[in-house]
Formats: sequence, C-alpha cells, structure tokens
Amino acid sequence: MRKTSHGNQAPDAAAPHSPGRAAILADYRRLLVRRTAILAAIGLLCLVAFLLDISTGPSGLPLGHVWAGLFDPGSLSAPEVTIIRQVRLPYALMAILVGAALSLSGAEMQTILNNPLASPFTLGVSSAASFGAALAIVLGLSLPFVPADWMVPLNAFFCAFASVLLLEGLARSRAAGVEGVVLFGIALVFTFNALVALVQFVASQEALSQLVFWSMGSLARATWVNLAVLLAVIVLVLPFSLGAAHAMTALRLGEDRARSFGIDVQRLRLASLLRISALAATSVAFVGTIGFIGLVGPHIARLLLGEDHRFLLPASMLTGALVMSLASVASKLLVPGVLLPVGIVTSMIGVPVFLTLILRKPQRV
Amino acid sequence: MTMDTHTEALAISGLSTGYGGRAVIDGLSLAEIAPGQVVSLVGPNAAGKTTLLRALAGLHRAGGSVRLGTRELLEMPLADHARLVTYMPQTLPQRVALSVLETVVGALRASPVDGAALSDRAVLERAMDVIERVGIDTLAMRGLDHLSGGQRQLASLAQALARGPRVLLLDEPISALDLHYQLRVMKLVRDLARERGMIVVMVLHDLEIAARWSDRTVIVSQGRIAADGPPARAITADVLAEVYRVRAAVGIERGRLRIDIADIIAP
Repeated sequence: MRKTSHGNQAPDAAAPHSPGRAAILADYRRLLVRRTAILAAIGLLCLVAFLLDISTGPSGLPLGHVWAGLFDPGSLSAPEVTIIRQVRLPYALMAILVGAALSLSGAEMQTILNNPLASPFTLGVSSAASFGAALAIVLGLSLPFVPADWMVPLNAFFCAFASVLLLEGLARSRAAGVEGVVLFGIALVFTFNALVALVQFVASQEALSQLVFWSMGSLARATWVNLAVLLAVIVLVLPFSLGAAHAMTALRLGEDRARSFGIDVQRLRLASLLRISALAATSVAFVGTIGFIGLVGPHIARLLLGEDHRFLLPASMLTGALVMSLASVASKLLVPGVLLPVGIVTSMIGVPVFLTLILRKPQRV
Repeated sequence: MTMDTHTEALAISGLSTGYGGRAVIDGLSLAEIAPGQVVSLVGPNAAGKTTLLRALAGLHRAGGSVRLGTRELLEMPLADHARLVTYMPQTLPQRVALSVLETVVGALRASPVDGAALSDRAVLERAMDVIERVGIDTLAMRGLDHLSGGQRQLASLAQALARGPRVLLLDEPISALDLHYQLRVMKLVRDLARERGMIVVMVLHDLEIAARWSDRTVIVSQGRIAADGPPARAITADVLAEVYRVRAAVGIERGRLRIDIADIIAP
C-alpha cells in the first residue's frame, strides 16, 4: 500500500497514476488474506500461551509430568493429576475464556458508544459486579435452592446486569446521547466504588480479606462448572456479535450515516449492550475485577487489523485471550512461589505495553 | 454505472419538525421536485437547512408528508427508506481505521441495496465503479485516518452515491474541497442526476455555485421558504437583503448569475 503523510494536500488527480481496478482489488484481496493470516497467528500464539500457562505453577511439576497429566494420567500420582486437571487446566482455560469475553465486550462497547475508552471496567459494569459480590460476602446473602458458593457470583451478575440495564435505559432515551452514556458510566464507577468502600468499612475482618481478594481479580476460583457457564455464554453471544459486524463497521462512520444506510442504531445498541452485559457480568462474577483486558484487547486488535468488524471482533477475542493468558503466566512467575492475583498483573504489564502501542507512530494495515 | 432511470417526483407538504418543544420548521411545503432535478438549499446559518435535510432523510422525527411518487417516506420503515434515500453528512470521521474502499463497501453491506444482498464480488465492483467515478481510485486503499479533509469529503460522496439512491441528500458536500474538486463534484452530481433520474437536494453556502449547478434554488430563512425557483429568479437583491441582510447587485453576465455583495445592512 502506498503511504502518504498527513496533511491538507489537495486530492490526487486520479487519472495519470491510477493503479487500475484490477490492481486495487488484488491489493484488497491480499489485505484480506493477510488479515486472516494475522488472525491465525494470534490464535496460534494463544495456544502457545495456554500451553505455557498449564506448564507453570508453584508446584514445580516437570514439563513431562504436565503432558502426562493431560494425555496419560494413569502414569502419575493422584495429587499430581489433581493439580493438573483440577487446578492448572481450569485456571488456564478460564484465562482464555475471560480474556476473550472481556475483550469482545470491550470491542463492542467502544464501537456502539463511539468511545475508545469504553469497556466494562471503565463504564461501571465491573464496579457494579464488585458491589454485588461485596454485598453477598459481607451480608452472607442466601437464596433457597441456591448453593452458598454460587451466591457471590450470582449477586455480582445481578448487579452488573442492573448497571447495564441502567446504561441501556439511558442509551434508549435519545436525549442523553453517546457522551451522556459514557459520563453516566463513569458516574457508575465512582458510585459503586464508594458503595464497595462503604461495605468494606462495615465488614468483619474475615469478610474484608475475602472481599479484597475478590476485588483484585483472580483465576483461582475457576471450576469446570464456571468454565462451562462462561463458554455457553460466549457460544450463545458470538453468532449475534458476528452477525452485527457489518452494521457495527458502518456505525464507525457516524450514527446519521449508519441510519441513512438502513441500520436501526437504537436496536443495534440495545442488542449489543445485552451481549456486553452477559459477557462482562459472567466473567466478572467468576474471576472478580479484571480491569484492563476489555480496553487493551480491542486496541491491539484494531492496530493489527483495522476496523472491519468481521475481523476486529474475532481478533479482539483472540488478543484478549492472549494477553490474559500471558498475564496468568506472569502472575505465577513474577514472584517465585507466589501466585499474584491476575488482575494486578494485567494492569502492571498491560499498561506499559498499551502505552507503547498507542504512542507508537500509527501504522496502517 | 448502469442503473435504471427513475421517474418518481418528490413532494413535500406540511412538513414540521424541531428539537424538544421548539419548532424549527413548521408546515413547510415545496412544489414537486421532478426526477433528475438538482435542488440547492441555501440560507443563513441556523435557518433550518440541515434540519430540513435530516427530516427528509428520516433521521429526524417530522410531521406532515414527504412522498416519492405514491410512497409516503415519513411512515416508511428505516430499511425501506434507506433503499430510496441516502443522506451525506458534511464529512466522514477522521479517526477510523478503515480504507476508502472499505468505507464504500460498508455502505453497500449495511442493509440490502435494491431489495437484495449483493454478492461479495458485486459489492466490490460496485464500490470501485463509484470510487472511479468520483475520481479517488488512487486513494482506494488508503485509510480515512491518512486523508485530508477534502479527500475524506470525496470518500464520503462516493459512499453516499454507492447505494444508487433515488433521492440524494447532501449537506455542504463541497465545504472542504479546492476549486477543481468543487466543480468536479458539482458536475458529477448533476450528471448522475440526469443519467439516473436521481433527485438531488443539497445544502450549499456559495450562492454562485448554487446558481450555476442547480436547476432550482430554495432559500430557507427561519424555517420557512423565502424564495423558490430557478436560481436566477429565486436569488434576487431583495431576497438577499431580506434573508442575509446584505446589499447586493444581482445580474446575469454571459448566461451566469453574478452576485456583487456591496455591504451588510446595519440592523
């Protein structure tokens, strides 16, 4: 592709150096092939990060034992099999799924709210979930027929969902506009953070430590049941996300324009917010507050693949999964023998990487 | 570009719209706009030109009637409306990582054009048709974030033309263009209107350009029509004094309307 400098140069006179239609379309097809290749490469990196993730851990199992635990459990002792199958594998899979879910919801949110800073974390969905969890922990909430273990994630989910309904309500009223929704989301962050602080203030010592651990975000609560639920949500939501890809690409060019091309923007936004709430609330309910993935995943995907949402949405899922998986590895390696909460690591490693990316001279794909 | 020639006229009657409780346009009616006709909407700032255009585009809730042939546009579902009418805002956003070609393709994929979804190949061919016609094929693979304001405006026009609308609504389509491209765009829009029977309604600020390139000029002031007719009849010294509060001499020189603004009229 030809590169030009920014600036107010006059539009090119097309005729003298037009590359011709065949050449342009060939260029375009090459671009599509390149994007598909980049998608596949990120997918491959995800797999490598995942394998790295299950190969590392405080128990210091040799690599050979890890493989045996996966493919030939009979050759290992029972505790080793338990470590690999009940701890490392769910942990690593949860990193992949949560990364994908948060990043996809972030990508959709940035597009429908036309704001590069939008993500479940920045617009209060994660804070609302934290508040729900805090209430459940401190008040010891219980419901008939619901196991006690489930009350914290369930209440986190309800609160996150309620916050999204509030955002939706505002998005539906035309008066508020996109900026209104974003400002309202920021207000939600502060409100729920204050409420969480209030709950912490009145909490017992034991509840407080549980709460702090929860608010740091950790993969340690990954179970096969949680994984199945999150996977089901992703599988349910993804076809609708991809189905809206063309509409979301058009929306990037402005709301008036999108509506003039026949897109019901209000409906697109509502449907998207519902998907976002399902993805973000379920993720946050199982792993606590993990702040950075919903923001950084889509940005990396956009830098690599542009904003054709047919590529951007799946790429965001993969970059989110990759970053989360690497953060999970780092959380085990940064301080030998100590498993840091992964939420801390995503921010510590993610922020400098992110800043490097956005401050770099922009390069178009 | 080969397309059917359209034969339906646009009729606007009793159109009312506004913001909140405030009416910007109240009961506006226009003589029928014939197929192939290019109409320029001119008038001072805040006269209601863009509001009128957005109401015609179905983007702003409005009362009254806008009919294309026998079809009432105001009551039409969005997707059906989008098959007949395309609206082009002043410009495309800058910070979007999409190429010009992707931008035009996006317009064609957003909803079915001509009642059916096009194949991938047809979409690309059609997008290239319009990109070549607008004369920006050298920019086709360039990102919007690497274009100047004028180049983005041309890409925006290509996008609006791609869907082959019956009614094309343009909001200041040449505000960022140099002299060469101003003429080029005006000529293109007029040629396409003639070829396809497409109705063009565009908001312009330059009266001489409006006079030269439109069949009809509608002068809007405070939400009502101050003058409407062939440019030479609509744009008169009296109307300019009333609407723009300027003293001007208006005459025809070698077949072209010529406007000499002398001074502003003190309030």
